[in-house]
This record gives sequence, structure tokens and C-alpha cells, in this order.
Amino acid sequence: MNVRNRSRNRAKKGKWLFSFSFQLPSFVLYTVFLILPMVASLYFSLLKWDGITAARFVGGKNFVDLFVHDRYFKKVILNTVKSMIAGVCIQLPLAMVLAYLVYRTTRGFHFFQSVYFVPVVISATVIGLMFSLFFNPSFGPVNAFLQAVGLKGLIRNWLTDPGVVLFSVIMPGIWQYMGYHFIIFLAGMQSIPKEILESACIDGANSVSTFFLIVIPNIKGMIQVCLVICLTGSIKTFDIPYLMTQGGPGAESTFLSIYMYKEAFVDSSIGRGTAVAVCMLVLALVVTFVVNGVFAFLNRKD
Amino acid sequence: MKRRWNPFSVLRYVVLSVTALLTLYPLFWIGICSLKSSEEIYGSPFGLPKNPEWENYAESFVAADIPIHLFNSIMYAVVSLTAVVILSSMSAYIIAKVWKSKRVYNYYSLGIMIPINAIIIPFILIFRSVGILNTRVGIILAFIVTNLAFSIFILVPFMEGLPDELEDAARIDGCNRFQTFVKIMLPLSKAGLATVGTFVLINCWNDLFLSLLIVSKQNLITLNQVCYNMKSQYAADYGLITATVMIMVIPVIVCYALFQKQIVKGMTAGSVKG
Repeated sequence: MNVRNRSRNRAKKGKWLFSFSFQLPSFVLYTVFLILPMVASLYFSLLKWDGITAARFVGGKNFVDLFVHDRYFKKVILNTVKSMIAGVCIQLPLAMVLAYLVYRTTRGFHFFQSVYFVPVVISATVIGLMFSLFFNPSFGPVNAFLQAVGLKGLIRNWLTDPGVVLFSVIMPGIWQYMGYHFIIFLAGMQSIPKEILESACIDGANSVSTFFLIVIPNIKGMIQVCLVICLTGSIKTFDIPYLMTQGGPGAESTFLSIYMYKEAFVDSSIGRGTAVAVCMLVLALVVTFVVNGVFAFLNRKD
Repeated sequence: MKRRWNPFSVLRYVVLSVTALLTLYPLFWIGICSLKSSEEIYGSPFGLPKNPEWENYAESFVAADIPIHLFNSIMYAVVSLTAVVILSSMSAYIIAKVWKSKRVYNYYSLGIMIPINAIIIPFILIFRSVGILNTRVGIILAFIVTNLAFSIFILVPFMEGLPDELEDAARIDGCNRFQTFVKIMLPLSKAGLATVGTFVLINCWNDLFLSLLIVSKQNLITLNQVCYNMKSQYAADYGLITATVMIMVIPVIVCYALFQKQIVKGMTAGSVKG
């Protein structure tokens, strides 16, 4: 009896020792380098600090500065919102229509499926570099093309003209990640039971009404996921616009990430930079909760 | 029955083909530019190269010091990938099979909600105070940490799906927990590990943000940073820039062609599961 108890105790101890030693590395790395920085962010955003000399606690002053006095911050928020709107209103509908078109084809299904995903696997650096060559005002192919087809009126300095620069830096991202949403939508459509579509066909529904009445309600889950990915992606976008224009001219193509980077690592005002980062974090969380809330509401009705 | 010529299906193929063209043409354009001299690019931006200038590639190898940066990119990605797969599978095994704990899992899931850009400042300050800024250890650690939570998030449900009986059988046959993990769990989780591995590999290979902040010494930077630097250094030499871009893109395209299913699965892993 005693012996069995002791051996069971030893086994239990061994189990705990084993599982702790297996869990520990991930847990420590994750806590020290992700959770700790997140908590630290909240604190740093209340400091006036250049990262080297002593920090001074200033409370909410950084946030007041950003929202009230800063001449660029409103523009930066506006740019981020525009990029989110472009993603939701252009990228997602296009991806969905493309997915539906591919879904209805039999010939070339795999070809189109693979082709549209190609840009997704390429690094955003390359995409940014590529589009900055395209939009080059003196020898980029975009202006050369416009010249060739006789649309001289549309020729612009794509990367320096404040009127179009935002378009020039948002467009490559839309082009690149459309395939990503396309694949998700397509996977959703493929999981719709065939019987539903067949019965719709028998009832005389055409392609368009099938799309709106059968397909869209059945891929609600995918739409929700894509909305979250698309919106949070717009909030943290950095590589492409930074590479193309470094946020210029002025703050015309600056997004939250770029502004944070410049404040913290170029102007070394850690406090203000972190305040921007906290806004980014809050915005990302709010957007996620709003989207999930809206979809929870929609799903409750069924 | 006669096949009917359906105008809608023709229209559909036209739309699909035009989109495919718009997707591939920019990459194709970079490809042909990399074989032209600068004068030829300015003169006829759309034409095919008259006599392919392979020198662009040779020149890029020398001017941009490609071999060392290629080595860096590969090394960082492979080491991080290995570490993430080992660490996350260990952690996921404990969560899924030993503790069966939702609480620990939720703690890790929190990590996939936090965009790294939003916590980068304290992140870099920690790196600076530990003294691993501008070292290989630093960039590899950054890659590991930023991919760890997501990998655990994917692996736990996968391992939960594996039957408990196999594990029990192994234990009865006299395997200890470590042996059970190595001999039973890892081989069974191959598909899940492959998904995680692909995801990590592509993330590391394509990263610019982290490497820009962590490594700046010329002998430590990645291919992505080289592309980034090229833009200001050789602004007018399109042949050289596009050749470097191609060196960066070709391995990815080749891998995509070979392992397409695996790559698509890896990159969409989080989303399809919801």
C-alpha cells in the first residue's frame, strides 16, 4: 500500500517535472518578449522619454498632444481609415466575385486558383520595390503606358503628387493580398453542400441570384475572417508604403506603423511613438470586436 | 447533345484571364527588365530584351554582395523554423495531451491578436538592454518569438485531434513520456508541423520590419534589406535592381510551384480554422 502510494507520488512528480520543462521555454519566451512588451507599451505611452536619459511621467499628455496639437496625426488616422475602406470595398468584393467565377468553372480551375495566389507568397519588400519602379514618373511603365494609349491627361508623379500618392501606396497591397482572400472565399464556397446549389438551380435561380441568395449567406464565416484580416492588416501595414515613399510627401502616405516608427526610432521620442502604437493596438482590438459583434448579431437571427 | 456556346461563360473566362494577366504581368515585367540594360528599359519598357544581359545578375551578385545576404536569409529562416517547430510542438503536446488545459491555450491565443508592430518599441528596448541588437542571435530570437504563439495556436487543436489510445498504448509498452512524444506524437503530427513550418519559413523569408530594426551591420542583413537599400543606392540602375529582386523571388516561385498545396495551407492556416 505504502509502496504503491510512494511510486504513484513519484510518477506524479515526474509528470509535473516533465511537463514544466517542456512548457517552460515557450512560456518564458512568449511572456518576456510579447506579453511584457504589451504591458510595457501601456506604461511607456505615459512617459516623456528619449530612450537614453531619465524618463519623466507625463500622464495622458502624449495622447492629448497627438489628438489635439499634432499636425500630422489626424491625417495619419484618416489615411489608415481610407486604406481600411479601400480594403473592404474594393479588395474583398473583387476577391469574392473572382472566387465565385472560379468556383463555377471546371476547366482551368486549378490554373486560376494557383495563379491568383502567387503575389501572396512574395515578400512585401519586393512588391513595394516593384511598384515604385512602375510608378516612376520619368521611366516607369505606368506613365509610358498612359502615353502610349493616348491618356496623357492621366500622367502623374505617382509617388510625389499629394493627390494620388495615397492611391499609389494602397493599390499594391490590394493587388498583393487579393489572392489571399480569394483562396479563403473559394475554400468556403467549396464547403457549401452541393444539394443546396442543385436545388437552387432546379428552382430556376440564375448565377447572380445564386451568388447573392445562396453563396454569400453560406460563407458568412469566411467573410467575417476576411474582414478581420483585411482591417487589421490595413492598420499595421508598413513595408509597402514605407519602401515606396517613406510616408511622404509630408504625411500624405503615412500610416500608423510608419508614424510610430518615425516618432520612436527616427525622432527618438519613445513616449509619443508608443502612444501611437497604443492607438494602433486599441484600433485593432476595437475593429476585431466590432466585426465579431456584428456577425454574432447576424448569426443570432437565423 | 450539342455543346452550346454560352456568352456568359466566355465572358467569365475573359474576366478570369484578364485578372490572371494583371496578376502575373508585373512579375513577368520585372523578369524581362532584369535581362535588359538601363537604356533599353527606358527606351522600350514593354519590349522583350533584344540580347539578354545576364551580366545584370553577375553584377548584382558582386555589387550587392548577394552570397552573404542569401546565406543570412536562409540561415535565419531555417534556424528559426527549426526552433519554432521544436518549441511549439513541445508546448502544444503538454497543453493538448498532458494538462488538457484551455487556460494556457487561451493565454497563447492572446498573442495572435497582438500585432507585432504595436509592441515593437518595448520589444526593441528589451533587445537593446540584453545586448542582442545587431546580432544573429537577436534576429533569430525575434523571428522565433513572433511566430511561436501562432504555431502553438495551430498545433494544439491538431494534437487534440489525435487519439489518446495511441499514447496510452505506447506508455503500456514501456515508453516514458519523452519517448512517447518523440516516437508517437511527432510522427503523427507531421501534417500539422509541416503547416506550421511553411508558415514560419515564409514569414521569416519575407520579413522586412523586424530585420530593419534589429540588424543593420552590413554582414548581418538579409536579402530583403538589400532590396530595400538598393532602391536608394542604385536608384537609376533598373537592370541591377530587378536582377536582385529576381534572385529574391525565384526561389519562392520555384518552391510555390513544387509545394503549392502545402504553402497555401500554411499561409491560410489560421483563417480557415477561424
